[in-house]
Amino acid sequence: MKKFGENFFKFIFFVSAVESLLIIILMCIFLFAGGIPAIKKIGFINFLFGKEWSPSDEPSLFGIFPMILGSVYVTFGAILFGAPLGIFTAIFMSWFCLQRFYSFFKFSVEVLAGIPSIIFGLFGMVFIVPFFEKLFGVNGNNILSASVLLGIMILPTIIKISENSLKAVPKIYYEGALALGSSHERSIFFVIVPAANSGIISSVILGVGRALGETLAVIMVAGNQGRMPKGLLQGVRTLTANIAIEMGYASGLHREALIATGIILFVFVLSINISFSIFKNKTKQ
Amino acid sequence: MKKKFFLLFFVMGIIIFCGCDKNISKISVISREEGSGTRGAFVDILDLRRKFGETIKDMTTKDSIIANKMDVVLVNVVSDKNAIGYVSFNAANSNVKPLKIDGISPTEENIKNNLYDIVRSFGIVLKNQNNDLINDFISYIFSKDGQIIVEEDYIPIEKNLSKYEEKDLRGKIYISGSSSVAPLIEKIVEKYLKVNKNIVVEMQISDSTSGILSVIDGSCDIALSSREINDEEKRSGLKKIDIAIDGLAIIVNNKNKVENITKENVKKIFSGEITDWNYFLNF
Repeated sequence: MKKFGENFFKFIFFVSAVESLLIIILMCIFLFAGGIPAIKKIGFINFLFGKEWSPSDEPSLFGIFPMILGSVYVTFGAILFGAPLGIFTAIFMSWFCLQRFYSFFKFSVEVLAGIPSIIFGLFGMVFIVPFFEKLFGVNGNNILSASVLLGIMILPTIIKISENSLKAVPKIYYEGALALGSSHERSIFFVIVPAANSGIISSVILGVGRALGETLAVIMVAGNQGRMPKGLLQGVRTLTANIAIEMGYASGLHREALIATGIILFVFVLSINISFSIFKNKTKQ
Repeated sequence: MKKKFFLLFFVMGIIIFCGCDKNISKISVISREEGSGTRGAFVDILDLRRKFGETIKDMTTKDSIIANKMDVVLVNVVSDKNAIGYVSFNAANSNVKPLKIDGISPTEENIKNNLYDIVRSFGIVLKNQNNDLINDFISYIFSKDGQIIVEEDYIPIEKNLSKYEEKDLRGKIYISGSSSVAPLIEKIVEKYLKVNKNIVVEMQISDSTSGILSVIDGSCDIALSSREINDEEKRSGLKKIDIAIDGLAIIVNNKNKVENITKENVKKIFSGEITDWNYFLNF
C-alpha cells in the first residue's frame, strides 16, 4: 500500500514536471509550423533584413528589420534608464536604508511589480507622453517615452534580484573592508557591489527580457510606426507591438508573417534566458 | 569606468534633445493599423492606394502614428495639438474637432443626403445557403424595428421598410466578428430576443477577419464585418449584406485653427506630402 502511494505521487510529480516541458515543446511546434512556411515564402533575408513592412501593398512587403531595431532601441533605452535607477535603489535598500523605512520601500517595490501593464500604459499615455510633448514640442509617442516607461516597468525585477544578491554577499567582506580603513560607502561600492556583480548583471539581463517582451504598455506610448526608427523623438514599433496590433485583422500570408515575427521574438527571448542561466552558472563555479 | 559611460550617454542625450527642431506646427498623422477595417475603408475612399506598374502601394505615410483602437486615436488627438486622425463620425465628441471636408461637415444629415462622402458600410457576412432562423434575424435587421436602432447611431441603408413579423422559431444563432459593428448588433439582438423568447444568440467579439474565418469553418452563422470581403472569401461561398452606413470624420485637436480642408489636402496630409499646419494657415 505504502509502495503504491509512493509511486502514485511520484507519478503525479513527474507529470507536473513533464507538463511544463510539453507546453514549451508544443509552443515551439506551433510557432515554427506556423511561421517557417511564411519565412520560406518571403525569403529569409527579405524577412529578417527587409526595411519595409507594408502588408496591404500588392505584392505585400514583410520586412521586420525596423521592428527588430525598434525592439533593440527601446529595450536599450529602458536599460539605460532603468538599470542605474534599479541598481542604486537596491544598494540603498540593502545597505543604506534605515530599518524603520525599509518595509515601506520593500512594499512599494512589491506593489510596482504587481501593477498590470495596462495601468503602466495608461500612466504613460496620460503622463509621460504629454510631458515629453510639452518639453520638446513634438508628438510624445516616441522611443524616449517608451524607454522611460519600460525603464520604470523593469525596476522591480532589477531591484529585487540585485538586492538579493547584494544581501547574499558575506558580511565578512564588508567588515574586512572596514577593518582595512575604508569608509562605509567605499566598502559598499568597491567591495560589496563587485562581489555581487554577477547577480546584478543577471538582474539586468532579466530586465532586458521583460522589456523585450512587454507589449501592451509599449503599444500605448511608442507610436507604432512600422518604418526604420528615425530618432529618439520619433515613433517606433517593436516586435511585440507588430504582432499584437495586426494579428486581429490579419489573414493569409500576413497572419503567417506575424507568427514568423513571433519566432524571431522567441529566439531573442530564448537567447536572453540562456545567457541568464550561463551567467548564473558562472556565479556558482 | 561604468559610471563614466553612463555620464557620457547622459550628455549625449541632452545634446540630441537640444539639437532637435522645436517646430511646433508639424502635423502628427494618426492612422490605424494595416488590415484594420477602418483603415482599409479610409484608404479606399481617399484613393490612397496607388499603382506603380505591377505593384499597388498604400500611400499612408510611414511616419503616421499607429493607434490600434478608435479610442486611442481620440486620446492622441485630444492630447496632441498637431494631431490629425480619423474615426467614426459619431465617435467624434466635443473634445476633438471634426474638420469640414470641402465645406461639408460630417453630420448625420449630410451623410444621409450623400453630401459627405467619406463613408463606409458595416455589414454582416454569411454563407450563401442559410436557414430560416438566420433569414428571420436578417429580416428583423431590415425591418422598421431594426432600422430604428440603426438610426440611433448610424445611417440606415434601406428606405422602404416592412414590419417584422415573428414566426415563433426556436434555436441558436452564433455571431462573431468586428468590434466596431458589435455595439450596433448587440442593441439589435437585445430587441430581437425580446420578441423571440425561444431563440438564443451567442456573440463573440473579436475582429472582422476572425469572424469571417469562423463562418467559413462553420463554427459561426454570422460574421460582423467592417470591411468588404475579398475574392478568396467570396470563393468559399460567402456574401456580405450591408446593414448600416458609417461616416468617417477627420478630426483634429480643438486648439487647431484649421476648420475646413479639401479632400485633396486630406489625402496629401495622410500621404505625407503636407507635413506642416502652416501650409493652411498662411493663406
